[in-house]
Amino acid sequence: MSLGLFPLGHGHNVGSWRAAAARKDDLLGLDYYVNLARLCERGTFDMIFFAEILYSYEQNGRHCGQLAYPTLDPVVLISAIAHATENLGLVATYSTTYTDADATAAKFATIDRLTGGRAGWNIVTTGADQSAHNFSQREHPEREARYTRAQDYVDRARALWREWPSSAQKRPVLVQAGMSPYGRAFAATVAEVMFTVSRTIEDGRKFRVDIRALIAEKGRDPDQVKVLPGIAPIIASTEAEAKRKEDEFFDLVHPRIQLALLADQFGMDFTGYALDQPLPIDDIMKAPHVVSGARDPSRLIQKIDGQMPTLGAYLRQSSRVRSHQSFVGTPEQFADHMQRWFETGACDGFNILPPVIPGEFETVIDHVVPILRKRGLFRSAYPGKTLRDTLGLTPLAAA
Amino acid sequence: MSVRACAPSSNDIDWAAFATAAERTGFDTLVIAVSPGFDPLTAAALIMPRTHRIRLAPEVGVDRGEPFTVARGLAALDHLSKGRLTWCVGAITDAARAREFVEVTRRLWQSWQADAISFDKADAVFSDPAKVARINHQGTAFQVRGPLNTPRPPQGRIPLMVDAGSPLADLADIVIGRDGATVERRALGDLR
Repeated sequence: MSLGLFPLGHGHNVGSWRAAAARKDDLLGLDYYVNLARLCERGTFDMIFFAEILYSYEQNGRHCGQLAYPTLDPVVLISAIAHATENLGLVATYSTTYTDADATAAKFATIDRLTGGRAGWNIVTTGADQSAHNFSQREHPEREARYTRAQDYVDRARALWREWPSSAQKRPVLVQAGMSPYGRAFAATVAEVMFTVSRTIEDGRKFRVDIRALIAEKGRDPDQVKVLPGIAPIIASTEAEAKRKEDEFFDLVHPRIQLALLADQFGMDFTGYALDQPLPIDDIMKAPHVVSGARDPSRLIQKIDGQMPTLGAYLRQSSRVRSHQSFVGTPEQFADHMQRWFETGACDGFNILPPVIPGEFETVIDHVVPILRKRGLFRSAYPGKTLRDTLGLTPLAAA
Repeated sequence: MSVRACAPSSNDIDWAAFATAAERTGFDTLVIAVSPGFDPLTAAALIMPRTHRIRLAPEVGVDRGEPFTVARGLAALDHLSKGRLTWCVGAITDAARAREFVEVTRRLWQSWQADAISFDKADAVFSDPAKVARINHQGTAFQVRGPLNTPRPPQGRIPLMVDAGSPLADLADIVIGRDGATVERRALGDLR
């Protein structure tokens, strides 16, 4: 199977910067990221993947002191950690909506050539409408217009890559992460790796069957596209210990952070709503970010036994890892879970979103990867030099 | 003294070896020039961890693109290199746009005060809302609200390097003379 690491801040738990190990200067220094890259390579991971955020979090028009942790330019980041690794795939997200195609194509061509073919570009059209105001746009373009632009943009980049000197893998691996119908159609046309959101094994299987059919419809080989759902593991030597850890992590999410998270998700103020009452779905459907179409409550909110979760239960799930699935258990149980998904066609691997970094990622590398290797599910050494080689994608004849 | 390097169009040089050699020789700045299919900022980020003292001056143009992209890219590398970055702007076709570009980029760097990160775990305040502000730039070429999503770079204002005769010369911190040798430096200590 294929495995990626998606680090975000001090972890995907929104309160992770309050964890004991987190230090003030971590996120602006090279060492923090080099450590993660080396951990990935020790675990023979396919890739490390960085997201892109094009605005600073605000609440009621003011800087939000709870969520606005720094996010560095992802291409600069993967380039700065390249020297510390030899095989690791280096994937950066870059928007097609707010940047210049020629400049972006040159960035990825440069990192791909200078690392001997280890780069990947996660192509996004940018979901957050706050970004428009930082890029001389009055309004964030509609989804359809964004994807039309994305297709032209990628066509332009590929034409340039055919013109310029090529890398060991000819051109960067193309990654896509949108789940909307437009996103899927775009991915079926261009993507070689898909980062997806599937919370149940049934969802995962259905998504993979559908997307493979769509890929074939576009005249491509579905085996040349790796589907990697995100998952946030909380792992300990016993189930009870893992559950205790889960509680501990939730305690990091201070009530102030909870309110900031909800304000960011829906654009409304949740002060005054009771934690033990069902999520106020009628109010949420009228909230600014839902009305604008920026957020889809059906993707964010997970019903519990068919019932709307309480605000408290929703916060617990959401603050841990937003809309992705999480897993709480022992290394063996997590390996079983991954194996079941992989062997029943629900995925080609996973993108790991550790709730707290580096602790929860070290656990995966030290205790879960060895089990996957023993079971013959995961490599013990890299098969080649390029990211394409690692992913098991067929070599390209030309860019 | 600075050394200026260009990527040959057909094949890449071993940039890390070149940079370490330049550093060993005693050059204080490595200027990395643009060429088709080659992005100097990305190359500078790759070189940076292999060097220790030499300043890296990637050419990042202002003829295309948006200040937000440039501000966050340069700020990221200034952080990771602990302040070893110089911003080299090359040829300019539209002087008015270029000046506005530089102005907005600098304002974005200043949108976080130097001590904005409070990292107060007990009260759950990562950064102080009183120390991070929008810039609300409404200009001719650009309309940028801000703030940047990257804290103020260690140098405050990353030094700007241009060639003599550039329409940005009066905004620059370092001007390379026409003979390629004369370098005029402004007071870098006042930039924070």
